Amino acid sequence: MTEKITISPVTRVEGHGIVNIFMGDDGKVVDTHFNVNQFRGFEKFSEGRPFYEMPMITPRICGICPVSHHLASVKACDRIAGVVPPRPAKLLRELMHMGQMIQSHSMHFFHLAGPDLLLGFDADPAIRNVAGIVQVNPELAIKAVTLRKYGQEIIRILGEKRVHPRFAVPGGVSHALSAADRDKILADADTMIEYLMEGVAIGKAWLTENIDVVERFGNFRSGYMGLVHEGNALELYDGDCRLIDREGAELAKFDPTKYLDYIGEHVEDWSYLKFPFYLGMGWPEGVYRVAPLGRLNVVDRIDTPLANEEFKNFKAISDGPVEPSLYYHYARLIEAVYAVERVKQILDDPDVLSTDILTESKGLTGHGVGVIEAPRGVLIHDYSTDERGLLTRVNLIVATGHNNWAMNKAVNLVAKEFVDGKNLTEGMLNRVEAAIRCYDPCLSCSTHAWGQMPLVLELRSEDGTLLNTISRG
Amino acid sequence: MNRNDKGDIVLVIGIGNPSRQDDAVGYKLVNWLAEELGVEPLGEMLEPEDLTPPVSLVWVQQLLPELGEAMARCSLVVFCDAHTGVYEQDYLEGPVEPDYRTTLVSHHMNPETLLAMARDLYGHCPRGWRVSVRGYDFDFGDELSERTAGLARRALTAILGLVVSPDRPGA
Repeated sequence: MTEKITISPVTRVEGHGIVNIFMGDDGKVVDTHFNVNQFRGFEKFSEGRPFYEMPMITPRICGICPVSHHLASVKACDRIAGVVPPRPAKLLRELMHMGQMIQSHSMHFFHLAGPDLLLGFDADPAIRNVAGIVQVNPELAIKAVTLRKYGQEIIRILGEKRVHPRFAVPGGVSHALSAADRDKILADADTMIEYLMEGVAIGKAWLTENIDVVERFGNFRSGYMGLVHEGNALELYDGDCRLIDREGAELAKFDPTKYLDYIGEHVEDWSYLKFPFYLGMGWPEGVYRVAPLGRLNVVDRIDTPLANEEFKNFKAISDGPVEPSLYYHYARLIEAVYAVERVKQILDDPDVLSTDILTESKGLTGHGVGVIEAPRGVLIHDYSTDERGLLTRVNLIVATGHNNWAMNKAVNLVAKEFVDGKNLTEGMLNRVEAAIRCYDPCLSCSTHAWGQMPLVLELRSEDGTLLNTISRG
Repeated sequence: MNRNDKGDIVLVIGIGNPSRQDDAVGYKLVNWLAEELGVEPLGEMLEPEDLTPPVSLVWVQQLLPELGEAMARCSLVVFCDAHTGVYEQDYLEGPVEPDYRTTLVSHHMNPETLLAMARDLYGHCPRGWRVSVRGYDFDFGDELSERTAGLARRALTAILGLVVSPDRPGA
């Protein structure tokens, strides 16, 4: 007889999520489902709107990574407007994008994942959170807040607001960067790198000391996908899309605006989140992972010095792709270091202060695709318009969506490894949530809390009879 | 009264989304206070060096950990917001004590936790005061509902009293 355990909510904002764990009579996990049951409707209610509104509408999809939507959207709008932004505008857009990467990745490691790693998966939930880190290591907590603030400040300087900024427009950006603001951002960059390298050291030490857990925790094979530029170097703003198989061999490298020729979407009736896959291999063989682990598996180098040195250490973990889910945290920190180093590169470029920041449109093309690497993976905005520029069709493949299969897989493996239906503990729940947290989905702010997250785990028989309950909060 | 070496600074933080009707109460209050006091409200970002005695005003869409550093330089922080069912009263004001409190999500902070972080990370906990009014309509829009607008006027009077005389009985 199959029994079902439901973890709800795993998430709250930016996508409610539920984990259902199906147990056999022996208390062992038989199967799991990670359901995303929130419907947003952006693709539908945007129809009929002028295309140029989308860089302001789509950031409202998410309060965690609005900049990613803002920039992916405006890149689609560039193509509809038939324009190529001037180089200074591209630099400034990328600068904002790096600010997003810095604040998002820092926030995730120090605030969301950090409590598990630094305080322990089985630590008392009352202290296994950021408040616990504040009390155990206040200096580290200050650095974490400062890192997040630094990234947010870059966004605010360029876009006037930290959340839902106003900056990129079809054809370029709305204003140039002043020398004073450039110097302000540059002034703290080296300190931020120092903080992040401290985080890298913490992350590496934990992974090394807990290698037995790392290898048992959500360790599975898959393909990988990410943007690259020349020579398969890490690329977060532009570039080609590269797909590799589970052995590390290249499956495809393509113009990401042609994504429909390469990516399909599988649907399950128990989730609103679709399951993207590589068309060349079909479902489910063509599943792949994106975001930091995916990106560092598809690239051959990083074009900033400190990040590249750490990247070599990352590559040394495995002869092929690095697979265990907990290495997402390490890859994420390496990317954060890259992002700050890239900020320095951009700000040292003489074009960054240029006032040549807008290319005017001469006519509409009717279709545009914008692609960017969000913190959580490849983000695709695909718009079609009529002759007046009103949207007739919108397709969004949100970064987290690419990792849907992988999150389900990770939950499945972690539940089977660590959950004992006959001896349920809160620490088991936390490990299942931690599996999702590796992927830093837009759900993740709900899988971690400042304090004790209220959570109820119910064990029910097939006829719904309540057999056992564990609750906290 | 708590003081710090920067002098007596009262910080008023208006919290909420100005595009969601009654959720704009905090934003409205900060701007009304600015008119009454002849003070320019700070934007969304608050650097410690932006604080000016005797009163500084800032609006944020949600409380953020970055506010802790600036708060630690104040003697009194007044949190202004709208509420729904979490409180029984339509109008609520009272002290806020530093304490790490449960929230479901990491981007939702509460005043108690922020005060505790100011204390533990930046070495000083200002006195905290909450002024919260009931919101009735949170649809898209930039005007307050009639009932919330009335409650907000009461809040304005109370906050003006606080910032003019932080040591008044009951403050």
